[in-house]
Amino acid sequence: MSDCSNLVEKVIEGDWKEIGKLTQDEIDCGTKPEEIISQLQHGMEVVGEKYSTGEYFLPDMMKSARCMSLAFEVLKPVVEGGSFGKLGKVVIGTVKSDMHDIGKNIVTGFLKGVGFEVIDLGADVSEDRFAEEVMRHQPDILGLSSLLTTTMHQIGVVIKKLEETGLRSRVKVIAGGAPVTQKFALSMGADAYAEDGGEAVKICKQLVKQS
Amino acid sequence: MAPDNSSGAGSTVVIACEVMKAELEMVSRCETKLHFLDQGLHRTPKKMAALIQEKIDLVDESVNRVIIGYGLCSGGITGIRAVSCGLVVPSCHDCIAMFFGSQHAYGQAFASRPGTYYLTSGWVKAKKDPLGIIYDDYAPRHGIETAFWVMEEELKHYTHIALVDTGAGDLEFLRMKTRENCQVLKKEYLEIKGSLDYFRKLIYGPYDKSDFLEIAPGEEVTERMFLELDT
Ligand code: B12
Repeated sequence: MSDCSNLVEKVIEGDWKEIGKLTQDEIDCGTKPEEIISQLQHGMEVVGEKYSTGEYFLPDMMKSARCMSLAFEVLKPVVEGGSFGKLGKVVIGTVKSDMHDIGKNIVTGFLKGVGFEVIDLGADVSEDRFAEEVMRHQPDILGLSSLLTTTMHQIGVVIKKLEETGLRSRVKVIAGGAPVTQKFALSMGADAYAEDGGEAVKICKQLVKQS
Repeated sequence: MAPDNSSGAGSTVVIACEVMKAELEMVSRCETKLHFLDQGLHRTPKKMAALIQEKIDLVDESVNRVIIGYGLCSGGITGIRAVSCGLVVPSCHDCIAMFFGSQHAYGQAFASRPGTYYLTSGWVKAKKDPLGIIYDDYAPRHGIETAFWVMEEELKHYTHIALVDTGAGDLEFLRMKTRENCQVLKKEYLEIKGSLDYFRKLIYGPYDKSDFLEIAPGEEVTERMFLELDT
């Protein structure tokens, strides 16, 4: 059963209760961790699709995200010393005055899952704090999330702060969140935009190659 | 629909979210035609505009003005337009500002404590308060345990649940419901004096630039119109 179809199904159903055991089973029968990860991702992509067509709602999304992170917990020791944290370092957070964090948490899960080291600053993060943490952790990528049209200009404020503190050239900035578009993100001075977790993985991989 | 010329000002049609039904009914005189759309629309902003447009298209040509009872709602109203008359649109990003009475008042509250979840009569009535969502929406599909887990995750970083009292609805009942939410979900209770001013102005003017957009016939509502106001 190395096609992981059972695992994918559980992610799509959001059935987290057995996900840890199933992941362990896959590992035990010799399925490669990369294969398991890509199947988990595939499951999440289906979930994302169902969410955007209105078949799935927020609880479905959260249940599936929980499955994914539980599976990653099981995988972690197996790939330790392998790909985890080796792809690059990402600092991520939701901008000031915005408390929405579910989307950001999903993106964080995806990035961790494929092997980025991710430092999550949480929600309602000020531009000063973003700059401090970029200074401290020296990440390859800074991820900015905004779910409110009233706070999305903060993306630009953070980037300006990075410029003022001389940090801008040392880090790639990627922005996202439902009201944010590619055009808007770039107009705020970001290097990239991603629509969802799967895209974020692709684009972050490209960004670390560039830097 | 016969045009209403009794006031000389021609007729007005209001197309609004159900969340503000009680407030709009309190301020409107009976000749104003009010149409309400389902409150759940805001969860899928990408689908909103088409549904609102459908209602605008049904408006009789004799109507002089269509009034929209929505905030920008994450782009949910971008693209709407009326062909034969002008539109009046509140220039707030989310409708909560309307219950506060002005964008200024909401802006101050929002900046001072972002971790606040606001409730009004409309939200409570539609069972869209956190406990209402748990029992009425999440639990039937996911079971009560998961329903609580989802809501607790959602509100993890929130410290307060605030009742915005506009005078609409039964205040004692709303207080009880808000307190119950606070108790069960372990949040602080807040009560904020709201106002009917924004709703009154929405129907009768004056349309101050700080709180309203006046859209010409044929012109589309764009997100830029809202963002430009902030800068
Ligand atoms: C769930 C939700 C909430 C939850 C938040 C739970 C939480 N912990 O995050 C609760 C109920 C607490 C809440 C509160 C509020 N909310 Co709210 N909320 C939503 C809702 C319905 C869904 C958001 C969500 O989680 N989606 C699911 C996730 C998976 O999708 P996502 O966030 O878009 O993330 C994906 C992508 O965007 C991308 N992405 C996200 N972040 C990042 C970052 C990077 C770097 C990258 C690359 C990609 C990326 O990848 C993600 C995964 O695919 C939206 C409506 C909507 N459809 O967007 C309103 C919405 C965002 N909320 C809104 C409002 C008004 C509020 C409140 C003010 C309401 C109130 N009554 O008090 C408060 C906000 C307080 C504050 N200061 O932030 C409005 C915003 C309007 C505006 N001003 O722009 C919306 C649009 C609803 C509406 N139409 O009115 N909300």
